[in-house]
Amino acid sequence: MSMKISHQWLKNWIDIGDDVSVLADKLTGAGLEVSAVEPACEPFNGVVIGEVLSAEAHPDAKKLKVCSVSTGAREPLTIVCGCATVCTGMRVAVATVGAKLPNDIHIKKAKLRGVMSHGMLCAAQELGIGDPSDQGILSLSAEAPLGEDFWAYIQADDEVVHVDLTPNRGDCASVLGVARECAALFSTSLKKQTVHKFKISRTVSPIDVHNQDRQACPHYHAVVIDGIDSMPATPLWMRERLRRAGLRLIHPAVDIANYVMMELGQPMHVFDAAKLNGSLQVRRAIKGEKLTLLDEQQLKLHSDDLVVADNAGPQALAGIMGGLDSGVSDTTTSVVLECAHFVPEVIAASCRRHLLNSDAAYRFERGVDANLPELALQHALALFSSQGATIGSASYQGESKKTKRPSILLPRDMLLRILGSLPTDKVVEQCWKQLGFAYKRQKQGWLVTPPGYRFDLTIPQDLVEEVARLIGYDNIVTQWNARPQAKPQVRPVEKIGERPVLGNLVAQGFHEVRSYSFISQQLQQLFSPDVTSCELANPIAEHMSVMRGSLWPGLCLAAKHNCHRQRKNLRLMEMGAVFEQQKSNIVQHTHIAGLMSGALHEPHWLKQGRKVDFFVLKGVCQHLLSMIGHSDSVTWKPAQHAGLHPGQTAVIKRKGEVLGYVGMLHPSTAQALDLPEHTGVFNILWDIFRALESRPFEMFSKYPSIRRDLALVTKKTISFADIRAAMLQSGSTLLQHVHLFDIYCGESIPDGHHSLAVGLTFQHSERTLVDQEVTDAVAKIVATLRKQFEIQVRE
Amino acid sequence: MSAAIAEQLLTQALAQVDKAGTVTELEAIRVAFLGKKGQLTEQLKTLGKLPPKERSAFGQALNQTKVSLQQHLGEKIATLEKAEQNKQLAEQAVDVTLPGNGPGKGGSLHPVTHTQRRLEDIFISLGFSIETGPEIEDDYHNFSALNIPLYHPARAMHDTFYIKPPKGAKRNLLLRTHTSPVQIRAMKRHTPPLRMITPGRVYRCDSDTTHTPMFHQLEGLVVDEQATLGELKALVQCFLASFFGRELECRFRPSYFPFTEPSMEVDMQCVFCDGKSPDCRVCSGTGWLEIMGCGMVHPHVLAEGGIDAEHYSGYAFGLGIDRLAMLRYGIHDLRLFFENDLSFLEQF
Repeated sequence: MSMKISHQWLKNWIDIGDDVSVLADKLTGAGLEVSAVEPACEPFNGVVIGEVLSAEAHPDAKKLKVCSVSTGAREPLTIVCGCATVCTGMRVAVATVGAKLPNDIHIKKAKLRGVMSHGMLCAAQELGIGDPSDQGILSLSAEAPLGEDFWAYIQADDEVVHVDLTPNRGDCASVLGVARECAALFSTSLKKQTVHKFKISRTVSPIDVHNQDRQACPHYHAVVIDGIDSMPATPLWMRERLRRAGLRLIHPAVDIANYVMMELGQPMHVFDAAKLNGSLQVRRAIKGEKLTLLDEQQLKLHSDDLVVADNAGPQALAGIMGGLDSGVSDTTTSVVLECAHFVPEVIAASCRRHLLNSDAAYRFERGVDANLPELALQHALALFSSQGATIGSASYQGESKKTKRPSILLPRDMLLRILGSLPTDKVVEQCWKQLGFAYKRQKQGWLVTPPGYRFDLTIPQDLVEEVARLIGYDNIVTQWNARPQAKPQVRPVEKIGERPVLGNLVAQGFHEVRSYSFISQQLQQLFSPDVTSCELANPIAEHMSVMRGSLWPGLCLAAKHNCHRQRKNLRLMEMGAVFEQQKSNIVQHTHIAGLMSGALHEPHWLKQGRKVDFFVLKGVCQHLLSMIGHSDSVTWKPAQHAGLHPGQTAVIKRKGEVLGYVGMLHPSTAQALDLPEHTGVFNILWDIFRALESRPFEMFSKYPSIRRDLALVTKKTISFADIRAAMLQSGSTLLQHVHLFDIYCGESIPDGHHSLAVGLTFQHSERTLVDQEVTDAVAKIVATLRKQFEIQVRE
Repeated sequence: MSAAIAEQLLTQALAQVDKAGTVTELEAIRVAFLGKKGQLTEQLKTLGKLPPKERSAFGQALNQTKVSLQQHLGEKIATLEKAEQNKQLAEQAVDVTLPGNGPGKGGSLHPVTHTQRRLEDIFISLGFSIETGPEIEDDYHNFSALNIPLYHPARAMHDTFYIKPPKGAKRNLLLRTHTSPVQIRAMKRHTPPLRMITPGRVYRCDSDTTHTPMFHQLEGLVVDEQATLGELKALVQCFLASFFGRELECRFRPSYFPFTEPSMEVDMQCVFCDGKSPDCRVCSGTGWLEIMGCGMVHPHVLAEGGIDAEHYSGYAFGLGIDRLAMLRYGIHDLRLFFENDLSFLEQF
């Protein structure tokens, strides 16, 4: 969260000089990151404080008034004004002739329906200090000094410092909090504050409050305040501070509560007293109770939610937001001001449960000083009183003694152990003093008692951080420590194959893509209809709602993206995790997958254009699989796979285990994805490349080999894999390789047949072969083929 | 007299050799003079009839003629052959500017892959191991074990994607929001001393011009008896210098992460303008780039990892691989990484 702090407001609390960049650097250096510094007001000049001496109807225009306005100078100015509320005696901001206002407005003498106007009475918005809702001219307090420059009057020479607070520093979510931090950073102390101690008589009959959960709410104060309807609009000085802090104006009573929260860090709530029914109770909600919040959200409460209720039911979600029914409005005459301490855990739990957020909750869930409510309440009551409200009966509940944070023992050697160098005791103790921590020096270190607002300090390491950040991390000695030589490292098994495998595909012309791990339900269905998907409970979009069960959808989307940009010949690949549910478990596997589409290459003067087909894809896979050797043990069987062509898809297996799939897209799939028909994909389990870690050497034969070629006339329905296997089985151990080098259909080959030209390589591992051995082996092979498949050998 | 005959023969032969334009013609000349019935051979046959005195002189002259003729023939043949070959070669000349006939353009690795490899290499050389873990994690490893209890405000900073729980699943499943859960798993598996990095994909439900719902992180962890904040600073500086190839100024600021205490944010001197350009769009003129978070491992986290915090200390750091890739290649838009446009991918 970004806190907006007015430099002027802060300077009210502490002397930190005028240079806001020094402040910003110090805060950032101490862990309160300043993300921006902005001027508090858009520049304007020539605006002075004036008083309306008279406001007469314009002789020639119903809606205009002709005002005589004194600015303290000798002659009153005649100014024509269109605002209905302008009246005699009103103090106003007068833009005199020659004034320059925000939005490039220049004030000149002008004749309005025949009357010369010498300036303009300003609305807040025209000065860049209002919100769009209030259009009327700005009414200043009667004490506003006549003739004073308005820019100076509102201390417009101010800058707003945006501080990005980390979750541990809720104590800095106020002007006071930042001022305290500044006191430590500038080695100075807070200015004496004139917070009005408003005495409340405790004898007046208290309003009835029953605090039923002292654990969750150690302090609960409530005060009835009357005369709310007679309060004037929120005074300009307060409006300006609220505006600079980024808070909207809501209601004079609520504005005071917000102001105190912003200044001291204590959230408060304002109930409309007339809308409360009987006594107030602080309690846990009853399961099923309902509450409509101020932002009109309807909540079904949980029995762990802490509420403030009256006899009719919950009226506020404690410490988070009030209820709509008991909220203040323009007609409110008296209010109940709540000032309480709620413990962080209870507030945080309700916020997460109902996904709520508010300025109050922000502070309570991070921790608000338990000693603050009383001071804050007095401050607020003083402000109410100064605005003409009447302070009525009060109910004070809570321990009167000061709440202390537990003390922490910081051993000296822990500083050394964590930081690597030891600051002197003097430096350490100076830190405690600057931070306002009570401490006792002990033999081995310090016993430190953090102040009530430092909820983030619980263990000695937290104190080490305080010392380190006050010294400055940049001032801590940077050094390598002597230690035993680190163990040498190699890449882990699952990463061994990454470089060669991706390198192989890159050499084959593939471009690596990285696609989102979440895809649409439709895409998931297209390729993995049988997989039980892992679905996201809170996807950011419909098309990113399911964890991918295959890498193909991502590749197809990337292909589509590029096809639409006139890139038709594609080779894309991705390595990554895929996910599926198996019973109550979620299984995550790494795959490597590729997609090819279009032509094998751009039209070339030496080569015929060839489209991507099954065999091109298979070739890519074979090239890849050849890396792990034993390519003979890999089998390719016809297979069916969702999304793929039923007649051009193979499952890749080794020893019965599925390694992957390769195939052309089904024409309907290609059409659905808006991809060209000549698109194919492959997918291989990453795990098999673990074999790259170590490939055992096999001794090879040093003796010459003999090659014999055969032309086999076979039925087309017999797969080459079967023929090859039969040859290897019957051809004795001498047959090393079977190499298919031609397929012929045509004259002299019967219908339904083709002729396969194969080269057989024979070799012995320990001696030179004799011709007769090879002839015998070939004869055996031919006999087997004839018998098993009715294959004829063509002479 | 006889010497004049030899000389005349040679002059006659050489004149023919000179005129000859083909190897065939030269062969004919050879036969005409040196063949069995050639003019010179015929003269040699007459030697026997000459008186010994003349015989030797005439023989010598004829031999010289023969050698000279053979030499001239040989040279002329070589010349002609050379010319013939040159002619053939000239005919074989190709336009070397025509496109080659190879496997075509090579592919490319994703810039994040290049960057991740560079990081892995640096840390492996510093003795770090590489650890990996699941991307769908449980609440315990992603949050609780890292000192982020259920209602901790820091959870709000993580914008977590949750998984619809499978029937019967006991654990609350989510997409890991950082790679720190891998460190918890590794701490439970191994005993100190530990030096590891955990690179990988992480997820947060956040999407705008500077955030993608998926990105890449690399975190590091060192646990032993000498791990100090001073050393962490040294490691960070050393690593950044190796990654960017030059010494870079660093600034360490206090920050907050639930899993480290103390925690630091590291700002690095802007690698684009070196802090010299007030209009630099990369550092917005500040001269600094927020580059990584780090800190001393929180004792609660060590305890969750089964490590005795009294005896061991640890430091951890985390950085965005995508961000480093952007800085390294000068890429200004994070979304380019996941659009997979070939015009982008081809450049790496």
